[in-house]
Amino acid sequence: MASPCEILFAIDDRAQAERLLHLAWSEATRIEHKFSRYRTDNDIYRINRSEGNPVRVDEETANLLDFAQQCWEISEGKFDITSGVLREVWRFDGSDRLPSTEAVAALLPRIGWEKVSWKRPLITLRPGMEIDLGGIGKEYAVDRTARLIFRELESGVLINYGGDLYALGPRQEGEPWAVGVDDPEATGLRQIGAVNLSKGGLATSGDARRYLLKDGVRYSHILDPTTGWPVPDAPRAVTVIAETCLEAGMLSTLAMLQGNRAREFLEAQEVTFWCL
Amino acid sequence: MKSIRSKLAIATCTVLSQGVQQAGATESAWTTDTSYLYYGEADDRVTVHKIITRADVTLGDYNRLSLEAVYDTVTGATPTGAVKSFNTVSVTTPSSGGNGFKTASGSPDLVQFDDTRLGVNAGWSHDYSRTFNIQYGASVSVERDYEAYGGSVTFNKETDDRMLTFTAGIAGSYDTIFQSSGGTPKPMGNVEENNGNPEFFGAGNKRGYEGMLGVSGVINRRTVARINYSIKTLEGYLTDPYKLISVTDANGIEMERYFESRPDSRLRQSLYGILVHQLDNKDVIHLSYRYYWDDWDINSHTIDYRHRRNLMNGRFIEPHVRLYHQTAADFFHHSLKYGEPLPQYASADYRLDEMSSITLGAKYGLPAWGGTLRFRLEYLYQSFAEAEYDTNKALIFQASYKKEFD
Amino acid sequence: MKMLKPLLFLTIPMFLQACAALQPEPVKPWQRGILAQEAMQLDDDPTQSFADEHIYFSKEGSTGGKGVGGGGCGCN
Repeated sequence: MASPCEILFAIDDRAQAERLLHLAWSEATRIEHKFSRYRTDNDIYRINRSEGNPVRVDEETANLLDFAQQCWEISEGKFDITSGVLREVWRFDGSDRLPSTEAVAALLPRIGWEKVSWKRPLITLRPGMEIDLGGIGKEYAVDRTARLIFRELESGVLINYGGDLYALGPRQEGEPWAVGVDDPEATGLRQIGAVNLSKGGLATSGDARRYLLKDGVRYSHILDPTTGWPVPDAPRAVTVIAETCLEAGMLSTLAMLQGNRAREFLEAQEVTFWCL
Repeated sequence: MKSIRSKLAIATCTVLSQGVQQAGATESAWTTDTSYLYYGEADDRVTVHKIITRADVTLGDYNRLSLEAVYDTVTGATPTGAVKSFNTVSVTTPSSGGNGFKTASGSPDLVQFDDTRLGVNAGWSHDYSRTFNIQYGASVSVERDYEAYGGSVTFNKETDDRMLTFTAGIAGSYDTIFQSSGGTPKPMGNVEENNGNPEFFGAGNKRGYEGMLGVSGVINRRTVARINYSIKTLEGYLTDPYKLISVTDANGIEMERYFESRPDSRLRQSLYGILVHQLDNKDVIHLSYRYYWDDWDINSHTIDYRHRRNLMNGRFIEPHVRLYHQTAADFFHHSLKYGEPLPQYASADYRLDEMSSITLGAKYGLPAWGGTLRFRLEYLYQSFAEAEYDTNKALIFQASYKKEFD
Repeated sequence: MKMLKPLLFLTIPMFLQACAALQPEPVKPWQRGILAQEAMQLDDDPTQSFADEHIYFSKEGSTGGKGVGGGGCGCN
């Protein structure tokens, strides 16, 4: 997952909490192994090395590809899992090193879900293209873990995988979980506020830790797949509460992709949000 | 700006709707369940010991296999249907059969049993699409005096929102029946004819064809239910080769004895419904009802209620009650009257009599060695309207152990 | 046997309890946690059902109803 993950249990039965934690860990590990682009033994690896040949995927991967496609349609192309190759030229390390216009333009032919042939259960990428499920993997893991735990507990659990959260019901006595919202100006050091979460998913998109700064202009790591460049005037951070972590995560990502229309977008969705 | 919320909600619905049971599964996962069952009737009647073992394997995303084997032994005495009598009209078996059918001379109303059986059921379930699945099954059962073979196909179609599943199934079976010596007696043949050598025919066979339609569904977050209609037709030798019926005089003394005779066809239908619901206190109840009727004039009602209460540390206790009532078959008689002509069909088998029964019991489960151990103890009481043996009381005990492997 | 008929009336309160359960509500996939529990399956103990079906098949005049197939025997 590449980020700290924790699960909080507000219950009396310690043995049960340990057992569920272990179960959650197994599930998170399973998802990570299955969808990580750093492993050489999973479907993602096979797809990204397929050299233009069709690859057959299983039901779970197919469901995620269907989901990615629907998000691509809903966002009118702004959310695109084939845009991962842009990391070859973009390194968001806080420095002022931007890639050249030519370098970015050279990658554009290798990006675009419209170039992918996805006919369940077969996916075919053109040579040179790659898919990356990193944008939804963590939220998916949170929601799957929540459902596993929900088989035994209906409330009193908060899952937090690197800032993507899901609460299964409030703490004891009906108290909600108090979740702090990170201050992008002093990330990890200061909270800009707190949110009360009783039940549902909460996700944040932001550039707090990954950005480039040149000539006073801050470039967020949210890249527009159609241009290859960061979305201009993206908010510093967007936090959304929704029924599931996947939904919250997707809404916050889509909001960021709207650039300066992020707030307008979030208001139209009628969700609880914070936009900084 | 337009709201994309509902489209997104539907998209997340679908991706998260993959079964939770598959979480944690790698390429294959399997479950085994083994149990020992004891069934013992009062008054030295039937005793059964059964060992059942079952394995279920998930292969990839689309296939599940299951294999179940049962080994059982039946010993003790069972009523033949003849009346208890002081006239020792002894019943002979056609030839020495070793194990199987032995009568203790002098008490033909009860027959001693000693039989072992091995049965195997295999099933394969294949998902042809996300909502359509077919299950194939085959079964074999062999004992000294009975062989049964069967196959079935069941189609399951789920609605897209996974709230309802429609099921249609068909099955066929072919059974061979004989006394352990290999033959079946002439129906309504007098046991004493030919100086105690009644006529015997070869083995009988029985063909069965079955169909079922059902709907099961999710009613709300805490409730699921199912309702089924089934129909089964049987043809061939439906008589029990060991059962007898007595002809008695006005005082109930046995004068003659015959082998029973049943029609060569039977049409059975049933309507079954079950509700599974989690109560507010987290207890889970299973309540089912079945109404059955056939063309032998037997109608029955069965009500079954189980109530599971979870205790600390993964243990649970589950009391159970089952109520049952059936009417008698139209050719069932306690005995025939001396002097009246013999009917074409007659049986004194208490299982075809009018009867009410109640079963009371409880099951206790606890986690052990990574799996679950269950113990069940039940008491069955049957009360018959007219049969010679008018009650049956039995104790049932079952111990099972189930474990999942990755 | 007549005495068992009144016992059938004990089931009426059970049915009433069951009626409260029959309020249909749509269930989203992420709300299926309770339904996935083993105790909530329609047949939550197949080995017990198999053994019981066998016992009652040998001791009664009715049979089945839950599904097709499953094997027969000559049990007396």
